[in-house]
Amino acid sequence: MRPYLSACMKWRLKPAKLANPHLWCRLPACILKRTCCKYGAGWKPAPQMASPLALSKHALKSNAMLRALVPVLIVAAASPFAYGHALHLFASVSGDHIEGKAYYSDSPAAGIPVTIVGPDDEILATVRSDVSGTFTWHPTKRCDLRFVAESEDGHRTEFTIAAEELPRSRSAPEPEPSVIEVAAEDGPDDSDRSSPSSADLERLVAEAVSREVAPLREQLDAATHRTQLRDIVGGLGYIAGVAGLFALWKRRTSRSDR
Amino acid sequence: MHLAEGIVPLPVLAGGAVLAASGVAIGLRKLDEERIVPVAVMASSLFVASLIHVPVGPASAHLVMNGLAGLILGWAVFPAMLVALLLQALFFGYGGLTTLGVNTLNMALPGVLCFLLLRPLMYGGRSVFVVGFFAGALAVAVACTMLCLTLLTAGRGIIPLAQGVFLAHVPVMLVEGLVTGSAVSFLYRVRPETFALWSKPEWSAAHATIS
Repeated sequence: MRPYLSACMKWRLKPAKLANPHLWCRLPACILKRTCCKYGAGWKPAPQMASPLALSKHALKSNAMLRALVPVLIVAAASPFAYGHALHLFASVSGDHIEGKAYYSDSPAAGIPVTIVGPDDEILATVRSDVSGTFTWHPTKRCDLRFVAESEDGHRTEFTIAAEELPRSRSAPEPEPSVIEVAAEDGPDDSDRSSPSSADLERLVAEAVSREVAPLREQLDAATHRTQLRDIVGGLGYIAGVAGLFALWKRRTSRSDR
Repeated sequence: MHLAEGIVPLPVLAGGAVLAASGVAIGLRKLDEERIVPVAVMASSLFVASLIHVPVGPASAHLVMNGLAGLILGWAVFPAMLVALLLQALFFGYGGLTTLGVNTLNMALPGVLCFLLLRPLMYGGRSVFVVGFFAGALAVAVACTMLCLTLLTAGRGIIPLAQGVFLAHVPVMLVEGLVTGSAVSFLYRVRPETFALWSKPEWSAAHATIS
C-alpha cells in the first residue's frame, strides 16, 4: 500500500502530469519501481502526505475525461443497483400446480412466452406471463421440467424443476380409479374421515412447506441475480488492470523496436 | 440490446465473432501508448452505462453510449466494447460468452459509423452538441437495426421485432442523444485534444486554429 501511495504522492506534486495520458501509462511502472526500491536499499518515505480526497480533487481538476465520466458514475451509483437488462425466471411447485415468475433485473417481464420442456426435449406446453410477470401451469406428469422464457428482443433464460419436487400423486399412473376406491372404502366408515392417513398427512405437510418456502426461494433467486456494488467496482478494476498490462506490453514492444 | 445465448444459429455467431475480431484487430493496431488511457476510461463508461436504466413501458432498456465512444475512440471502440461486454457478461449476466462476438459487432460498428460519418462534421463550424446528439441517437438506432437483422436470422417475425426492439429504444435514443451531446460539447470546450487523438492530419490543423 505504501509504495502505491508514495507513487501517487509523487504525482500529486505535479498535477499537470495527470492530464497527460502518456504519463498515466507510466503509473504501473512507477508503482513497481517504488515497490522495488522499498525492498531494496534506496527507498525513503515521501516528504509530503496527500489525503485521498486531495488526490482525487487534483485528478478531477486536471483530467476532463474523468470529469465527464463522473456524472455517469454518480447516476449509476445512485440507482439501487437493480438496473440493467437480463431476463430471469423462477418457478416453484405450489399444491398441484406450478407457479412461476419472469422478471428483468428491475421489473416484472410481462407477456413473455414460457415454453415448458419435458425430458427428451418434448414441448409440453407454452404459457404466457401476465402483467405482473407470473404464470401458472398444471403439470400432467411427474418428470423433470425445463422452463424456457424467451423475449422478443433476444433475451432468453431457463429454469429447471426436478421430478422429486412435483407432488407424489403425479407418479400414480391412474389416479381416478384409486380415488373412487378410497371413496368407496371410506364410505361406510365415518370414523376414519376425521384422522387422515399418513400419506395424506405427508402430502398436506409437503404442500404447506412448499407454499411457505416459495417466497423465500423467490427472494433468494432475485438476490443472487441483483447487480452488486462489488461487481461494478470489480469490473472497473479489471478494466484498469487490462489497460495497465496492455500499456506495459506496448512499452516493452516499442522499446525492443528501438 | 444484449443478445442472450441459445437464440441465434451457430453460423451467425461465428460470422459475428470473425467480423468483431477483425474490428478489434484494427482497433488494437491503431492503439498506441498514448491512447490506452482514453480507451480504458471509455471502456469503463461503456461497462457502467448499461446499469443506467431508461423506463419504457413494460420492457426495460438501458444506455449504450456507443455513439460517444465511437466519436472519441474511432476504431478503438471495438476493443473497448469487447472488454466492457465481456465483463458485463461475467459480472452482470447480460448477454453471454458465445454471443460476445455478435454483441460486440452490433454495438461497436455503429460507433465506428458515427466516427466516419459525423466526426468530420464537428470541424465544419456546426454546433458540437447537435453533432453529438445525432451521434448518440444514430448509434443506438443502427445498433437496434443490426440486432433486428441478427434476430431475423433466428427466425423471428419482423413486426414483433420492430415493436419490441425499435419502439422500446426510441426513448433510449433521445436520452442517449442528450447525454452524448452534452458530453461531447463539454469535452470539446474543455479539452479539445481528446478528439485530436484519433483525427486525420487536416482535422488536427483545424484544431490548431480553433484552440
